Amino acid sequence: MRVLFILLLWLAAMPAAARPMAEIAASGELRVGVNPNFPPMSSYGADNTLGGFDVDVARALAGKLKVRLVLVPTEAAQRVPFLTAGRIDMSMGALTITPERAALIDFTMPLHSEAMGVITTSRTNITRWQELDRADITIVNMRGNQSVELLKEKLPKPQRLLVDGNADTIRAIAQGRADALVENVDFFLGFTRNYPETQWKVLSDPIYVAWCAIGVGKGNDSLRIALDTALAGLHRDGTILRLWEKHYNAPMTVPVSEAQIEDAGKNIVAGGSGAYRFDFSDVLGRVPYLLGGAVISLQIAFLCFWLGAAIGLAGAIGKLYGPAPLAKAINVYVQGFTNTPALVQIFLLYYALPDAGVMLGAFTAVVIGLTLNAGAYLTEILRAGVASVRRAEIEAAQVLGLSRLGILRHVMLPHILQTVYKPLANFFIILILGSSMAALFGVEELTGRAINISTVNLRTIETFSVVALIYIGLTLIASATLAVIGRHWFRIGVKRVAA
Amino acid sequence: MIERIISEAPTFFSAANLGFVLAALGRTLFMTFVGCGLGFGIGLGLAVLRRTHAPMLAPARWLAMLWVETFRRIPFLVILIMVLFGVQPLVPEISLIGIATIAVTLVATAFLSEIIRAGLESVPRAQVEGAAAMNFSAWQSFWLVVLPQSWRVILPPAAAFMVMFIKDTSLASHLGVVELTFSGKILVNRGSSPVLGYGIVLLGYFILSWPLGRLARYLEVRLAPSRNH
Amino acid sequence: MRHLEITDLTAGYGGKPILRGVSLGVDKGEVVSLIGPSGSGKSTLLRVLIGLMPPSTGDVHVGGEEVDYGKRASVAALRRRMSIVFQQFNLFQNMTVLGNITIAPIKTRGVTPAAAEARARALLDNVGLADKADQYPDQLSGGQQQRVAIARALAMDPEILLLDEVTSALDPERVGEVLDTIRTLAGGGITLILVSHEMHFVREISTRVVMMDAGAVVETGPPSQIFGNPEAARTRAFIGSIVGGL
Repeated sequence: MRVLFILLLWLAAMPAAARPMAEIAASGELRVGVNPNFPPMSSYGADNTLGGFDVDVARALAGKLKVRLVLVPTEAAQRVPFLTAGRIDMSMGALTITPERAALIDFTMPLHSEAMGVITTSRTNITRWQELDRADITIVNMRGNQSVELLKEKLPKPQRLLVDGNADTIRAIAQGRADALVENVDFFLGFTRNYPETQWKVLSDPIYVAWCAIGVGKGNDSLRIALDTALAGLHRDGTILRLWEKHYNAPMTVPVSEAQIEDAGKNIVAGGSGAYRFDFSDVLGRVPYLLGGAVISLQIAFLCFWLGAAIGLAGAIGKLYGPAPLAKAINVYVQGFTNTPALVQIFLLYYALPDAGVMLGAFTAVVIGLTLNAGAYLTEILRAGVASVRRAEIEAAQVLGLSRLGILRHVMLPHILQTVYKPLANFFIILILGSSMAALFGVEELTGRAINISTVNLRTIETFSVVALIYIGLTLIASATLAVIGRHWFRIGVKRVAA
Repeated sequence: MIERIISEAPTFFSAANLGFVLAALGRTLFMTFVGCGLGFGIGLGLAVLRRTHAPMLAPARWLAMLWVETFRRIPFLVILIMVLFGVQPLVPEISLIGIATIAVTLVATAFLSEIIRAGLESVPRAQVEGAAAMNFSAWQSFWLVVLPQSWRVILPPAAAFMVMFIKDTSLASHLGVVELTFSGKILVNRGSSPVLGYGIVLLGYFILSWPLGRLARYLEVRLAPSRNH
Repeated sequence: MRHLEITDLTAGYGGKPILRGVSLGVDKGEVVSLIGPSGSGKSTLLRVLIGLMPPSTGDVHVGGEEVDYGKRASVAALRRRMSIVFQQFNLFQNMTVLGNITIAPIKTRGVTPAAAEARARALLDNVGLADKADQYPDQLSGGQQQRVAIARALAMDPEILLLDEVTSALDPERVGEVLDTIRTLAGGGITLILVSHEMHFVREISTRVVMMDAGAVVETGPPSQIFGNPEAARTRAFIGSIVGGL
């Protein structure tokens, strides 16, 4: 705890490392954060290099500043943190101007508009966005996007599905996990081409218009002014609109006005010093919400453990006593699942099975994936346990006239439990920790809720410190409980009288 | 689904895509080997530290124990995110794969230090007493007698841990490290069939993990203490 | 002052006393055997003497110099004059027989590897194991391992050699070869202090026998006195109880 505290103090003392224009010019490199998975804004093309609207704009800006362009892949949720950390000089990726962000970073003049509309399919029969406000509708959205909070106000009734990437939103609708996406239509239409068999429908009445700009480090005025000057030129000579049309195959719904170009710099909020100050107030107020997530984490671990143990027991017995082909098949299963990551196994279940007509919810897919994975590991653990029963003991029991069931119950099971209890208890702890990957599929367990919170309050270190402590507490309680159960019911760890 | 896979296969298995996946596989290996290698070194230090008895080192022993207990009880995904946001402000120039490697090192240190500690403790006290009676310094006793005898207990589980961690590094895809899993994600988001995109990733992990797992098992059998007294 | 002078030595584990004031003097070249029931503190006395267990109170002088068991340098100096052979041999499992014998002279005394090896081969020849130099301990029988352990201790050229129940862990048919090795040492100028349950051997080889009980010395005398005409009642009872062994 003390070391954590010292570390925190040390972190707090570190100034943010925003490079002023002179330093950028001297280095000859402008580091620009662009989203690696956001066509047509920016994405890896067929040649596996980044391209798109943002990339072209960044290249034009770098040209005007006479520096070389360095692209840094920056996921949506990291656009602000990368900037405050000084990893990048400017952040792109449809960064909407908001007061929360303006408190942490500075914005240039708007680069483009963001007109919120609805993408849905012919499955829903709605014509206006207000009709989405029904409980039987699921709206998909992306963590870290400004629209998440806004939608809660405008459309309170629908269920929410939160995913991590732009591509995942459209895939969720195509696969029927969600019904509609309320977002800047332009950004997401590109992905609908991946699903030509879906009948896509776009409602064009904009819910509201927001503005996206380029983010720079707080107080980095020299860079902001240089970028504003360059941007004004690109706006006035039509470059921005031309690049937009080139990548979106359509004009920008609401172009940036001359007044906005004139007003550049007026919306800068005078910020504090560059030093990071820790603020736990937001996350501490949400501890009950996080603990609710911990309960879901435990549910996942429990389900996967018992289902996996059932598979494991069947697998162990099959491998030891079954016919050769069965033992071989079990071995293929065990080798296949223990030699590949559970995460990718769940990716396949979640993203590939719908192509074969099997639709699994995120929670179900994670539980099935982790269960199959656990089953493979538990087969090995339980096999070692079953194999530990010595033939001599079974023979002794037979001589004593015990029935087969009696031998299993009184001789084999106690022996197996003695051997496997500790590895099983350890595995349960591993499952509690492993359940965190459910967050990457939108399951709102402990880690998922932490990501939800931190993408809104932008207090990642604070949020995850609290979450780490909850995990430590959770596993300590689980370890202690399992030790007590082991000692009490199975006499594990009880000192035996020396022979 | 099958037709889609068959029709996509020729474009999917292009030289560019295979090279891309292969480079990503290299990054997966890098994170695992460098992270576990550093973790082994630091873990050895922690394990030795925890065997000392000097009262002066008590706080250091206590911190070593705290490290081990902490990092074994937090999900790797959470550690990745904390390292990303904790290290970045200090070293803005560090690459994402560098951050992921630091996270691997932190966790590997905790687990490997426990494995090493168990190995060192498996060496009978009598061996240390024999060394002490023969006037060995504590360092000589550790280096010449204890450590050489603990390898056979340390190496098999340490190798097994590393093989396990190859698969855990897939979570680094969440940071945006273009490792094996992320390469599959990129291919799928570009429109490839998930079966092909994630299938090739699974195959990549299997090719890394299976032979190394066999090697770990071989070490276990090979190094098992002999009993021919 | 005698070559080894132990004065009122006490020691214990966690408040439980094991040695309760042992005083004993040993001259150079003597062969002193410690006998007594198990738990009487014989092995503990040897462990305290070689510095594996700290004494609580009391003095130990070797060659007129006081040993400060709290100081590493003092213990190191002691161990250059005194060595020990353990009941369980404690050979380093990761080294060959030759390695076991040469490592300490090379690493702690600065002997050249060539000189250490020549001496080790000579010692191995003495204990009759010249052909086992390149084998590992787990390839040898218990008796052979114990003879290697004796050679290893002798390679340190100790003035005093402690032998802690060196035959207790051996198969009966292997005891003789180890006792033969010890016999060759006695009378060669080296001081031997041994703990043993082989009463015939003790009676035959010792210049003096020390009877211990409950952490203290009960009686000291030549073997003829201890085995033939013990003074203390406790000694009589002990000798009587093991008379079958004589």
